[in-house]
Amino acid sequence: MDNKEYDITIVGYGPAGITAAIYAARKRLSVALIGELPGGEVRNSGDIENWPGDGATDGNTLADKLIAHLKTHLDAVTIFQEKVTKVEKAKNGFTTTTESGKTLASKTIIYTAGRHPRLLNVPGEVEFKNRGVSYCATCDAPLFPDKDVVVIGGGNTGAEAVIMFQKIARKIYLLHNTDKLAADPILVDNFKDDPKVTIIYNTKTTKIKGKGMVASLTYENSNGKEETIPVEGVFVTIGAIPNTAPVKELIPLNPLGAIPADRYGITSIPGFFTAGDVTDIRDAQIVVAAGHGCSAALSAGDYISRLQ
Amino acid sequence: MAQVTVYTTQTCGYCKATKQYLGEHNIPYTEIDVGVDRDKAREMIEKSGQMGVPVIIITKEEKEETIIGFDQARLAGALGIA
Repeated sequence: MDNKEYDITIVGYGPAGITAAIYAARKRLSVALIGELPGGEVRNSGDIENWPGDGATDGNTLADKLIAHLKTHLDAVTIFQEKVTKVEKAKNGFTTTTESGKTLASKTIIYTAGRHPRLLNVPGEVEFKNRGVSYCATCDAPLFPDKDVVVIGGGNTGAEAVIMFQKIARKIYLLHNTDKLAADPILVDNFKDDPKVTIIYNTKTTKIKGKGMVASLTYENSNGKEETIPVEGVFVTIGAIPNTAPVKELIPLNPLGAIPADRYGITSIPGFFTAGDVTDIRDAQIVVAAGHGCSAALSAGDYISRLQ
Repeated sequence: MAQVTVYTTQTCGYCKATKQYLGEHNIPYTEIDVGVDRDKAREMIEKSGQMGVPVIIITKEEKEETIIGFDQARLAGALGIA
């Protein structure tokens, strides 16, 4: 056990956690920030055009800027680039355990572990993961030059994947489960008239087949009939699931698996605060996560000042 | 000393995190951008049997270890990082 007791342990290295750390540091609170991927899922979000002040930027650039800002506060913030396996209630606060076996004691927790991509749960998906099936177009799209690919899910992430593939792939199918794309029209405008892009509505993916690598995807069309398209890449963008495994014995989750919290990041457990995409907040947006992280830090600061 | 090769794409966050991790521990490495170099992309797929990046190949005493993804525990083990 690290002997030090921190005021706050922040779990998560994304916009919510980083913002919480900056606000906490400015309150002269001692902070341990633990997370696996510096910058969080933002790193995998490709082009970003809705972060105020930056016009057009991208995930890696924004993540680097957030981290550079965070690192101006290393007097107050200790960063551990690690995976957290468990957060538990201790006698006077909380204990956080990491994959390498570190345990950290803190008066409070701000849990900002974000979400991970949802699976299709169809035959072939697991078998062909990274053999044509990917959950990160931003990462893997460049490996599909002049190939035929399918993007599953017509939300913003799916639309951004299609936009990325317009410059790389030969033919792009976009499958959506209802009769209307959920993505912002400003994104859809980029490809709705592109002859390379075929949008198919009211589909349900049924299987992925191949030999070593992906060769085709089969879906049920609006008439309940199965159709098969020959593709080498299957990009799954059907939403995300909150990363709650380390806290599932600590706090009750809502039916969607998110942590219930109010706008100030306050939960049902005193001293346990949360922010961003892991919570039941409506909008999974970078700017919202950052704002929620700020509120959670101020809530934690308020809680700590009452302890003394 | 181990030779480290990292297959990446420019946009991949886990690639960046891998490079940052190696840099922080002063491990020299060679980076190959498989988004640009198609021959090297094929080589990576043959060596790793898959298409996800990053792929890290560590050659030590003529033995090759292939690590797929930013797997910090395996990187630390293979490179003797405490």
